[in-house]
Amino acid sequence: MSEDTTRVSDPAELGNAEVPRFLIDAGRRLQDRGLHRIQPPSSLVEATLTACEHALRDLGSSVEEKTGDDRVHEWFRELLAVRPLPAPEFAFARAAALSLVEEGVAFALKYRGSPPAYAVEDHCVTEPDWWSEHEFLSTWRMACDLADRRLVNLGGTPLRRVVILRSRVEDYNERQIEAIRLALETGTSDTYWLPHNAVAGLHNRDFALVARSKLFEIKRGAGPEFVVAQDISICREAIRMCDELDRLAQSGFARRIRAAGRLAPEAINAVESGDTGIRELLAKTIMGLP
Amino acid sequence: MLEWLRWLDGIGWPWQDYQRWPLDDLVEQVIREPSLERKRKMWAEVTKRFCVDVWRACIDYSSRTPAHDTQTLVSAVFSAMVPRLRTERPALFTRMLMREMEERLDREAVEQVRPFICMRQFLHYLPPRQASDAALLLDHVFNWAAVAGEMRVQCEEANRRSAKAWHDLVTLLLSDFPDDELRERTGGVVNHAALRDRGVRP
Repeated sequence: MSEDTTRVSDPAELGNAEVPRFLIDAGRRLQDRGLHRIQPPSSLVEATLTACEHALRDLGSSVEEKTGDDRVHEWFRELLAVRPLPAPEFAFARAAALSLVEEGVAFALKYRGSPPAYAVEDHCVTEPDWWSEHEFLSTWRMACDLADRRLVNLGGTPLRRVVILRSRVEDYNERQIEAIRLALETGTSDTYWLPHNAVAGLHNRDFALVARSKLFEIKRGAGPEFVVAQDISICREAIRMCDELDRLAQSGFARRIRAAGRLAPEAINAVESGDTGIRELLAKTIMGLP
Repeated sequence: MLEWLRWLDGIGWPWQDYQRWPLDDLVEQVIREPSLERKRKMWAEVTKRFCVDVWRACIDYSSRTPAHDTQTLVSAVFSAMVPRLRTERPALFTRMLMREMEERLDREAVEQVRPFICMRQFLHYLPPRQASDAALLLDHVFNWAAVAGEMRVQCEEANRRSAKAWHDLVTLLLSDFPDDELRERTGGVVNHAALRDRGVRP
């Protein structure tokens, strides 16, 4: 144990140090007891680690063998834990993403044929280019990709995304068209496009319904604003709308863009033709052309 | 070794992500981490953060074998945490540690170090070099000469660096942690009002 008898703090220095008072008071009490003069042996940390080794080993052996997929899931949890999002966005992204990756995937595996979640994206609420600009939205997208990958590996159905288009193609600027092209190219979910006002009560709504029980909604303010619905009647309404969307998809009214992990041929053509191709595909969908 | 790590930090060497986590969250990750090697590294980080304070409480309790008691205490709390962490919210570690200390030592000895332990939970929210600057002040109980010696600078420079680290830490905590969460993690010891109340008493 080394001993140090050199000077201790004086009030002026502590004042400069911007240390909270409760800590300064605690430090004074320790100084009064002479505890500032002694330092622990240099081996303390190492010896304490050694003492904990058996607990670490027990813990190691009791953890189930993880699959590669589980490790991706763990990584995602870590990513959310360290990602420096502002508090409200972080809370939303974390809740929505974990709900999807955990509950949504479990739901889709239990009820084969059902997607883990429905994601309804209205381009009048969420600008297509917001998905890469707002970190909480890109976190949600990552969660969707992760859930889809897990489900495809396990023979489940991926997330079902329904995109409600604007009423005119001219309402999309170049940047937004590029964002749409990128989403087509890199997406993993089953995707349908619908013209504006195709489903009563659906336009101007942007939400994700996870496991047919949890509703996460995005409202439009200066940017995206986030709401987690607690009201069961709102969830019921969302479930009704998603059933209606399924019916529209099966009847061919909605344009199928991606299914079973593959882009539809006309979507591939649009992506390859760049800006013009995307605009043509949008126009056809908006006008209800086959 | 420490100097070497500081040098790496100085040239911007990428630091492990987990060194930025609050202590309780890091304990949760130790439990969940599948690799034993990584578990060890993370647990070493946790141990480094609070060992000194547990040891000081043992000294204050007039323990004859403070280092041994520290080891026993820490490993006992960690072992006890494992089954609970599988089912409960894990932001409990710091409070469990202090409860165990109260049982094995006594309340008065624990009260001496409680604010230090509670605050150490958040030190590594700062970038590594600043976290080290802030921790030295606690490690040496405001002994400026010792702090300056560890930093290898004059007392005035040590004072300036500590001031910057603590200013940044308090600012970060106030902006990133709601009052309720700080209270929950520390049994009420750290909260917004206490963080805003800085400097010496008039």
